[in-house]
Amino acid sequence: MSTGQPLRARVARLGAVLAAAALLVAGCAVPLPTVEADPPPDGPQPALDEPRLERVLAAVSDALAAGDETGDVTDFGTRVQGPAMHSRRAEYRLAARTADTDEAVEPQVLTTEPQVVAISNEDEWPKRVLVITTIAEGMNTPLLLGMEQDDPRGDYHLYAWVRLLPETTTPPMAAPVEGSPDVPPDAEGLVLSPADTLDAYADLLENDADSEFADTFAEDRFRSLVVEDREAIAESVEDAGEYTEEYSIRQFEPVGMQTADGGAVVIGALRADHVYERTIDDSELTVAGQIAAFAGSESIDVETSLTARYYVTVAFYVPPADADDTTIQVLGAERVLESVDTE
Amino acid sequence: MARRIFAIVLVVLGLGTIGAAIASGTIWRPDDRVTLALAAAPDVPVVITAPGVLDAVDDTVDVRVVAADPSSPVVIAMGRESDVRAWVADAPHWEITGLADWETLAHTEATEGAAPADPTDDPTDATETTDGGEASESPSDDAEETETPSDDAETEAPGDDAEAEPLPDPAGSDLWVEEVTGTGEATYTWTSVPGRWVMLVATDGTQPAPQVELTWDREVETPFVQPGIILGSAVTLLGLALLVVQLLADLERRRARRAAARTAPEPVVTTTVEGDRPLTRREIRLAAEAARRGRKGRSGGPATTTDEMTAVGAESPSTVEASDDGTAAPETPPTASTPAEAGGDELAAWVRSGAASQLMHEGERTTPADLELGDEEPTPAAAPAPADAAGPDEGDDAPRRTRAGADRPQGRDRWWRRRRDDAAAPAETEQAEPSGSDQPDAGGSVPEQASPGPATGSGDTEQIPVVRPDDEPNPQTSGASWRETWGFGGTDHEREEER
Repeated sequence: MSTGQPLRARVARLGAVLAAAALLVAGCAVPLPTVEADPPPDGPQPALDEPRLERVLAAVSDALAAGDETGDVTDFGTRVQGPAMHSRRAEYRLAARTADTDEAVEPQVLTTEPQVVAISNEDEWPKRVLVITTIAEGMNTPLLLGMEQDDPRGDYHLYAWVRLLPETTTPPMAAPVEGSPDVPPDAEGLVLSPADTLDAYADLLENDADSEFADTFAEDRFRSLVVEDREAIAESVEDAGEYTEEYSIRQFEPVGMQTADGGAVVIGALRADHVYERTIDDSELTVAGQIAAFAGSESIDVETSLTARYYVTVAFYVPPADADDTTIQVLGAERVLESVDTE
Repeated sequence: MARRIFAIVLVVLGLGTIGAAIASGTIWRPDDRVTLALAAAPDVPVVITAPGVLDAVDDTVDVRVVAADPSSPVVIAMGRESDVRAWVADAPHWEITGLADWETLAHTEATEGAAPADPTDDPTDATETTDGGEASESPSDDAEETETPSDDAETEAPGDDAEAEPLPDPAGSDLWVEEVTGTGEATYTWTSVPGRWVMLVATDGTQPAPQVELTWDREVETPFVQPGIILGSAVTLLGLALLVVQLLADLERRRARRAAARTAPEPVVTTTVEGDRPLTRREIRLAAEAARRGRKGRSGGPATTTDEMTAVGAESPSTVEASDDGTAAPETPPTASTPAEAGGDELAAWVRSGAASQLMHEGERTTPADLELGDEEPTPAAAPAPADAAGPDEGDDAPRRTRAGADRPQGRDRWWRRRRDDAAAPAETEQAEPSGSDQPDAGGSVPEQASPGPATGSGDTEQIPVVRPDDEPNPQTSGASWRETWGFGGTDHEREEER
């Protein structure tokens, strides 16, 4: 060719121009962004954040209100289960049966207004929340609520509650934003494992000063009341028979959550059987009061024996094994007459 | 012609580029707001999004879910990844893993019993496998992949129980941080917050999940507008410049031709000005005429050489001779005398055309300095000069360059020399014409004469003032070697092509 341009150079130039044009057309497509997820959280996360906790508490409160209105625990739906449901059912029943008597008992006033919250930060279910409520109207002490979510698809529900005993100091709990580890029933590193604590306390209630655990637990108002009551009754029935109390563990596992100092708050349920036995012939053993009212009469003449079963819920603070003060404190308790059987 | 076409192509390309650039910022500008949906309506009860999907494009996403059955309840729930995955567990579900394209969400399918742990690892695999609009197909492959690990998981995990249970209605779960319910359709706007958040979409847990649409604002850049316009303008200007140069050159040529026609019976002078093809054809014609004329009287040294050349295959000797004549004794041969006369005209023509040609080269800019010299040699007169110049240059540069480098320029020299041959042919014609005897030969064997003899000869005459001292040996030697090795073939080819 006569032009001075080598063909190759020309082709190259043309190619460059074409490439530029192609780029232009390709430019219409905005590049697809890639998905960049935040890294997973470093440490354990609390099971609930505050808004969700409020929602859960409100749901529980609503459920309780619904149950209170009808006196039917089925109205709780899934929001109240376990020991809480059982004791509440007992309360409703007792309230219903004593409603027209002198022994009229109102169900416990329950509130879910939180004051202190401890939230489990475990990865696995069940997940738990402990709430110390404010003092509800008409009450003189706050409640300690134990709540639990059994599995991911289940709801958080009120598992157990106790009234805090007067003059009780609750142990410091980890901040809710950090969450607290759960304490399984057989946890080590505590003065007693939660399950053992419950066992021991049952024994203590039953045997008082004779119990081998008498020194393990600090004095508590509930136990002293129980003991006083038992001694009084025993004294009053000694002409006709015997009065004994048996304490045993309920099937529900004690719920434990670690406190800031490495101890644990444990809530457990006990069964208390108050047994009135007429052991002396020709004597009369009459049980009146609440038990009689529960059975639908003013008083019950015990033929052979009468067993009043109570649903007892107790909350403890179990210090770590290496604490200075290793006595277990009872934080709160609840007791409600569940059934009366006569023979 | 080719140059002109090239110039026009450049202009068109440049304008096209400008147009495309503008269009890329206007009519082709991608939408600021994009809506992506699943490739198909889900056939599983739950669809979740992988962490990071919801803020993949923009911090705020508008979610719209539409159930197949307008009367069925729909739920949109936001939760932490761990919670949502725990809730979904091994239930069959789809997981939106990213963007397949700007209209389709990429997703993986976890069938019955897929282990809850696996999906965490999936996103990476998933994005690889689900690409493009084929999302509907590829996910199914993924599902098979995820299925296999799930089998293992099934045996380990207590998945059997969960499998048996139908999924509960996700609405109202305590796990959800936010939840929107609706009937048949629901919308939800989520703004990115730190953490691994997962959205769960479902109807009532038993019916197929609704179709999911995610709508984002996206940042649309128009990166090609400015550069495109600049590039296009540059190309256009370049093309225009080339065109103008071409036109000017044409004008010049025509004017020169006309002038030559007026002044002298030998317009040949003008033809020598350019080495372009049309000219060469013309030359050929002219040469033919000249040959007719020249036959009448052959005489002079060159005549004899040309005679030899006319005899086919005797090119090499003839050329050598010609070159010898030209260089060694430019004055002795009749050619030499004529060049002197013609030299004036040539020079004028060269001055005129030279400007144009230089411009052109500036425009083209592709060839290195050496070559440009060569390129500039459409005029026979100029041609030798560069040749010579190139020679000495090489010599000067030689220390710097390797021999290979030195060789290369030679090769290029050959190339332009070939052209110069074309140019030389006209040169001859000029020279020949006065002598009369040369012309016929030239007509008969233009190529042969062209390369060596006239080129050098005419070059010498003109260049002597410029580069002479070193020139002589170089052009000869290089020319000679070239002739021996490639020159003849080259010239022949060229001739053939031109013809």
